[in-house]
Amino acid sequence: MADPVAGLSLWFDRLSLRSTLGLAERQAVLSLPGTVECIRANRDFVRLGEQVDRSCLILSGMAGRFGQARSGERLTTAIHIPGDMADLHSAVLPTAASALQSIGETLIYRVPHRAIMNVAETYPALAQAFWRDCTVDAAVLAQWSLTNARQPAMSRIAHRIAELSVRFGIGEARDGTDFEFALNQVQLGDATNLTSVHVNRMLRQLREAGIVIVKDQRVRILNWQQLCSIGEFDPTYLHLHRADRQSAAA
Amino acid sequence: MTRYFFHLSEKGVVTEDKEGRDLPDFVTARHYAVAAAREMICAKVEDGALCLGCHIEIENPSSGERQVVEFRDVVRITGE
Repeated sequence: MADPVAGLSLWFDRLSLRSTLGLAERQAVLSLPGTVECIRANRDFVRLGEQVDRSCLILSGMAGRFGQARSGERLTTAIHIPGDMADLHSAVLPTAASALQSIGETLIYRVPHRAIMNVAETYPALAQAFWRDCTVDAAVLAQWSLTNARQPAMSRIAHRIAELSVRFGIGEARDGTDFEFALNQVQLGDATNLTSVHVNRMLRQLREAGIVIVKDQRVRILNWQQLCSIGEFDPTYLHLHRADRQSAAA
Repeated sequence: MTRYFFHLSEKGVVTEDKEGRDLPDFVTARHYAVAAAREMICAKVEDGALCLGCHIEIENPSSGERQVVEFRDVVRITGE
């Protein structure tokens, strides 16, 4: 997806899952200026501590957000897929407290913060939608913190796969769901605080139990209910619905 | 960087590593295998079990070198 408008459209659709937005807001988002960049696999395209003046929309591929210990050990704290504005928050906090790395070759669209702020000021509904988007990112991080700290290895892996299944399918996943999965064992380990050897062991067990197959950079769900049960996955925290209608009704 | 493969053997059940991991040298690969073994021992202990009969075989296909890290060698057992 080298066409930035297609990527912006995907982002707009994702924003619309959680906010009521109209044609004017859609046009404003689709008109956001920027530059397309192709990032080779496993490259940092936002560095820790860097001052940034643009946010990164993922057009194709995947990106991980990570923190890094002094030893160089990294922990992935979020995975971003096409249609995610991976560091939207940088429009208001431009010093990168977490960095972004490509997972496989990744196309991004760098959108100037000034343009994002302009549309947010012009369209209050968009400002709220951006706010919600960042809040959901924080909710995902909170969920990952919980699973990584409190759940066993298989459960963490099942949770990540279930979450990505829902996000790729925008709310729907079932037996037979199949999608591209660029993460290798090391990267999945970085997202679950496990070594790649342990990840490989858990993936074999999940495969042999007839729950999910992760092979050749693809995921195939065999038993969605079991996957969710093992991962204790409840998609509520992803807020894949019109959140503003809920808050207005409350 | 060299790609090392870490094959896990658990009482005859082998989980073959088909992806591997890029690391600078065999010493680092061995450290990684030791960390992985300890991590999996911890996970087993949390389940109330402990098996020290497993091992990880480190493979460097480009040189043909192989080394085995036994689980029983990565922990110091006291108080028995």
